[in-house]
Amino acid sequence: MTSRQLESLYDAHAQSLFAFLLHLSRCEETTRDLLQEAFLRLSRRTLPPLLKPRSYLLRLAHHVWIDHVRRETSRARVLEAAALDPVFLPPPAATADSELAVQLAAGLGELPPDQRAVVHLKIWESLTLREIGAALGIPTHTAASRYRYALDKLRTAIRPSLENERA
Amino acid sequence: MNAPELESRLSQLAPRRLPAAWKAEILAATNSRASRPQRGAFFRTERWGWGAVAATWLVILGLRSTTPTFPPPAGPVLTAAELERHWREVRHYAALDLLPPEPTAPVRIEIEQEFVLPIHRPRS
Repeated sequence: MTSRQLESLYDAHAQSLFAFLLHLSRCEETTRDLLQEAFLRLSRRTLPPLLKPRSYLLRLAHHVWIDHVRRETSRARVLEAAALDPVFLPPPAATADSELAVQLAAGLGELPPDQRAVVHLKIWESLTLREIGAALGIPTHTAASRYRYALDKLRTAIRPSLENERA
Repeated sequence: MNAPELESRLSQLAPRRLPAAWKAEILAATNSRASRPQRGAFFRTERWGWGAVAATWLVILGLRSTTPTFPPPAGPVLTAAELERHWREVRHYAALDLLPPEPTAPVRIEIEQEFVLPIHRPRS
């Protein structure tokens, strides 16, 4: 792949890959390394014209993430447990909605990475469950159940905030 | 809160922006690392490399299988008559239980002689 092709792919999709990898790793430094690794792998491949380059790149990014976790399992656990880099921009003002947004962001951080990946691809990449399954290498019904479990957990996480709002 | 409402709330969360400075760094590092020779690149580009490795192994294995694993006898090979005489002699000594001792290197005796009792072997 030429450097010009690589640059155009970067311009078009690096933001998505960054958000996805940051959501999984919750560490900016790790995200940078993973993004670098993803583009390095991309540069060494000869790709045919892609129908859905975004899905392909997200799948590649997920493979890079899986390899990273396998390589550094103990470190990944430490990263999971530690206070981590923020994944979302802070809400604009201190309102009830912003409090809910903070609760949701915290709830997302509590999810297992597998569920977080599904939620990310569904909400911020607008992929269908079938596409998510293809990107993550899992059956569609597994993606659906992970998504449902994740939403249930998020509902539980924001319940106190909603009750405050009603009171 | 139902699922569509929750999804709508989630989608209002804005993911952080990719730092602009990363682009130049990542692309430069990617280009420099991509141009570096990779491990095993030779065998990927030069297909005959595997053939050369296989041929080398075949030669090594062939040499091993045709090379004797023990040295050939140093002196001349005994004739049938000489062998027969040798075995006759061996059988004779065996019958007398008087096989000549194997030549061995002299053993250094560490025990002081005064503590060693003389051994009397009965003659057979």
